[in-house]
Amino acid sequence: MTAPSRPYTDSPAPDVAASERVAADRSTRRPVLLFFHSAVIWLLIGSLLGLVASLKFTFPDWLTGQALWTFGRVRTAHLNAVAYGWASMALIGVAVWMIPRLVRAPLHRPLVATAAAVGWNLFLVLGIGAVLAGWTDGLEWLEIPYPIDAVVAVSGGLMAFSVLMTVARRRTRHFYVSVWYVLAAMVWLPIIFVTANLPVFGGVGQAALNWWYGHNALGLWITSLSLAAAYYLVPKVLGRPIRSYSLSLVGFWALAFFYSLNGIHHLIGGPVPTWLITVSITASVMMVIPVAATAVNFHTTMLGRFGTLRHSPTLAFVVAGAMIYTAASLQGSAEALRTVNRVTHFTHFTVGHAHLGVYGFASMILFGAYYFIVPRLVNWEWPRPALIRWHFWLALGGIALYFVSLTIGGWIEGVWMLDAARPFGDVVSVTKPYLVARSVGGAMMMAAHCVFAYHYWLMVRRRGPEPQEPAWAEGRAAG
Amino acid sequence: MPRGTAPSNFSGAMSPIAFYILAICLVGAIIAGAAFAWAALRGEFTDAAQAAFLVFDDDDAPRPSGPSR
Repeated sequence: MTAPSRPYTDSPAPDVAASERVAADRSTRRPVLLFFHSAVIWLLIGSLLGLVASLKFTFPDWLTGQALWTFGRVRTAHLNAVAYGWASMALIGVAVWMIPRLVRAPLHRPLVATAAAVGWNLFLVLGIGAVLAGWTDGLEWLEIPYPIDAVVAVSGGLMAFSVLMTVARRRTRHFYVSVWYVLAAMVWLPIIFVTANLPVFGGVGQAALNWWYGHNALGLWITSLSLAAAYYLVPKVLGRPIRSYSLSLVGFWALAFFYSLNGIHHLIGGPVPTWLITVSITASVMMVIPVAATAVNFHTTMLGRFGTLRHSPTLAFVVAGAMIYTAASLQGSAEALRTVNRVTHFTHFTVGHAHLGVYGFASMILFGAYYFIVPRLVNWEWPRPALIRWHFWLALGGIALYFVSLTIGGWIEGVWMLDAARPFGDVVSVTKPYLVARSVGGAMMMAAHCVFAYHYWLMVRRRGPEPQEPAWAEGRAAG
Repeated sequence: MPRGTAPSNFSGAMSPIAFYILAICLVGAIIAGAAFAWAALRGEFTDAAQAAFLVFDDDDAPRPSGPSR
């Protein structure tokens, strides 16, 4: 293990650092717990909706009696519940918890952050209710009607105000790389969300803005906050800094400069100016730079320390997430190429890729963050470590099965659809076994979430056997 | 189009789609460029090796005892 040779020039004395940390944690406890509780509930709701939507591919006559349960509504509600409910609320909770520690200042106006969590939930209840009732804007990732979007715009503004003011009152001179990612995400999301929801676009222009938003919501919001968490958690658990701090900054700034135009590659073949598509493909390929910078950094930081994975639930989830980030991002760059996109567009392949990013990468890092942060919030250890192993293997096995089946099935689907001699019914039939495998993978993920939610409930209620040491800590010295 | 002028590949392409996206991205690029310049001027990119240790300043999980959870 590499111990620091000298403290950072801004570093506080140990007693000061401890008191600052206590003050920071006290200020964030209530809003973070509210964000975390809500996120777990939305994870369960979103997973259930996703599983129902998935099963409808195999049992198309199931739940067709009421419009509420039709595929178009259930699948849309699933996307909004997991993207804005689970992922966004959990990521905000992690950011709100990390920032005061990293800038050594208590959270500014914790009540404002708490109000933001309440407002965000109100937005989700109204929005997903509207979607299930059939009232949508009809744009992917932007289905929730824009009058309801005003609620999340206000809530997001309150949350950003609290975080940005905390950073403004910092006691550190430098920003740690996680702070860069959080600050950027807090600026980027309002810009893209408000722009995409302005009721002035129409036709093809609206489609272009739609995908510009959809991809940026993934890359500039979910990815940024997930990487912020990973850059905090990996060094913390390992007890040594990331391999190259300079490379982490290269990764951040390259993401900032290259990501914005990625989304237009979703319209390859559409009635959009060819040069605009080409610019987007170029930007997508340029993403190899920040991805490689991040991947090399995490992987070299872990070199020689992989044994630690057996003794840290946080590290197991976060390292899995970081590795999947590399795979999902490189796959995304390849998918943006015209020759690949020609096959994969409008197929299940794209669905597999989207889940690899949001679930395999972001959600795995979030699970790891929960296992690190919640014991510090409730001053209690996870009572049943075996449940964490069930959670990990069900989640990892589920996403692996889901991704592999949809990748193979989607590719075959794309190749067959390009063959004009094949009837479309044959194309549908050939994907059936892969869709069954997808549902099995989805059911495994749903089971993982039930295990996680039950364990989370035990944890916050301090139920179960009283833990004597952190989960998976047994045998750590030998490991 | 004046007689004798070759049709441009960009004719009609500078529709509101391109205008909106370029304008929004230009604003974003200006903000990002300004943030980058501000960061460089205040020395964010100097002494990077030491900045990596900022994550340990909260005195949680003291080194070198290793993983805490």
